[in-house]
Amino acid sequence: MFKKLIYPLFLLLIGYILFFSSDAKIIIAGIAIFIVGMIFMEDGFKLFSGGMLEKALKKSTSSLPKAIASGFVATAIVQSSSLISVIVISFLSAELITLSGAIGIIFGSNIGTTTTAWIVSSFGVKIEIAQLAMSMVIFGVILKLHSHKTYQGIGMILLGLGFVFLGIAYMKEGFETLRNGLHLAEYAIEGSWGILVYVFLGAMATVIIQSSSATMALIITALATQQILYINALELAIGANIGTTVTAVMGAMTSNTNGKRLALAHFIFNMFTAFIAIVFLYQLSDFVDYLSYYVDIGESDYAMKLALFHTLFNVIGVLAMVPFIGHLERFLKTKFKNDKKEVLRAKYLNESITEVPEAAIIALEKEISYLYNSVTEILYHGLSLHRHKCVGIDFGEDYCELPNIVKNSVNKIEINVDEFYDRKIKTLYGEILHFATISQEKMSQEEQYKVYMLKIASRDIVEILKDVKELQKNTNRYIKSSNSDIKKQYNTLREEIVKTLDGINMIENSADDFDVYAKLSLLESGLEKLDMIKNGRIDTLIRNNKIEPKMASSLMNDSAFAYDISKKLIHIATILWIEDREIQELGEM
Amino acid sequence: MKLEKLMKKIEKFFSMDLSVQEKKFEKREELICSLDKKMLSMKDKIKMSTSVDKKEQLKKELDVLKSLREKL
Repeated sequence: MFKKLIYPLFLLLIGYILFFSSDAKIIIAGIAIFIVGMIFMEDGFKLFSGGMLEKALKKSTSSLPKAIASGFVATAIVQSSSLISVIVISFLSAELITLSGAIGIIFGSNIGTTTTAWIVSSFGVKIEIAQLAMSMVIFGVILKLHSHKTYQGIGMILLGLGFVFLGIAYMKEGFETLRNGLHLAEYAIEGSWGILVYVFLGAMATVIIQSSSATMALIITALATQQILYINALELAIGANIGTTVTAVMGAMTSNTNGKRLALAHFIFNMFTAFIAIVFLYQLSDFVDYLSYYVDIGESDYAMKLALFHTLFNVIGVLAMVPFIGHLERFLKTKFKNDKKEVLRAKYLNESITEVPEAAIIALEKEISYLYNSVTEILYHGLSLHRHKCVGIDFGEDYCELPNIVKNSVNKIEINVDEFYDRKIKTLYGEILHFATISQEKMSQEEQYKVYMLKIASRDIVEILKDVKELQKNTNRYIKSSNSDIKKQYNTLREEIVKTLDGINMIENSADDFDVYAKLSLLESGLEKLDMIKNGRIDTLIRNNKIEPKMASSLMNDSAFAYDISKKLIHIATILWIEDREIQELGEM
Repeated sequence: MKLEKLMKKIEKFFSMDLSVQEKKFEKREELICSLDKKMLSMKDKIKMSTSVDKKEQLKKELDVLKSLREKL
């Protein structure tokens, strides 16, 4: 209830401030324009680089120094640590980079993000930046309208820079006007109480604005217009560093394991850095004064000194953390173990593909094959078998080795089919159906039919899970039974399903429709073994008193489930791997 | 006048249907042709094959294709 009220209350508060204080209105407008600029810059760089940034980051994690350096350079150029974080998390999830490499890039990115403070303090508050900003916006718009993507990208970067500078100009103007009526520096708090208050304020401002760069710009402009004391500005900068991790942690709560690991690494790093900066605040401040002399920063140029302080404490943080990266990596891997229950998401489907029917069908086929592979793995496990022991083995035409493999696989593999469906398959299945339905709207009749059949294939795949659930119960019981006859019958059921799976596995990559048709037809004709009423096997076992009535009823039901599974597998294969509609229809036996 | 329009529509419908049927017929001819080729190559494979099991398997597959040929 309270959570729901926060946002409207926040909007009301902003509205109130804007209505009653024209100075605050200018400052808040400055922040808003600054953030718009950052967004434009980020989008512009994405367009301009055309994947260059991703390639560079991917190749740069062979060593830790390289990872840190590339994180620094990339963030300094793009001026967006959030964009770098997004790229790093996606690479980490696809296992293109290691966790330590990703942590290295994030550390470097933390130093890179301090370049914003340098830009604001050196250009933003010193020169009449608004004039320059106007030209940037004008050229930015002209280039943005160009048909070529590179020019569009440059245009957006210029627009972004223009808005960033315009935002700074507004913030500066707002603080200067505010100074005439209200002098915030008069309310400055010094000492340890001041540290706590200003660090907290800096963190809160960043959480609210959702951008540490914007907070830094705000702090620097307030400092340049003498609205805050230098020492308080340092404390606010430390707070901004903490605040930025709060937003990252909040964002990672709904993220996958890798996202959580990286967010925690970021959080630990920033908290540790902030701790060092708070403990040694006065010593660091003296050190900044000392360094300023050597880098030609004027004694009273507090804005530049703040930028130097911001970089310095982040560099110290990185230097202090680097020796512990191995420990940090191990800690994160134990803290967030790879969640095997993670939801399966569509790998190939994207709504933009629905515009091209041919591509949509291919994407759909790939996705359904992916669904098929996930479900067949559970099918093996449900039968207490391991796929790697049954797939890719040349059984020969007579499958003479298979009975031994099946006979020796008696250990139950713990798998909850319902949970697997709910947590893994349901989302993917839903995404497939959604995509298929949306893409059908732009398709010809023939293509619509193809998609309709693919929907049926995916439904069959999901229905196999239900049969596995039923079959699993008795299979696990009877393959360990002391009654050798019932054990033999259940092993036969398992063998026949494996033969079907293996047969389908062999034709999966065949390009010849006739070949696929012939092989699937033969598989289909071999299913008779599973029809235990038709082949009279159950009758024989009952008549000869080989099995108890309870066993007979179980076997009768389970052979029907096994038959259903195999039949559906063949049907799915017919849809997925026979291209020609006519052959496909004839293959639907 | 209305009757003329209706007749035209009926004509159009039948002519469309005919072209679709023609296309289907052509496609089926192509399919039969490539199936015949496939069956010939399978017969060659059966002759060339040294493994008894493989030969048996190919023969079964050929039988399936023969029945497919009949269906087509």
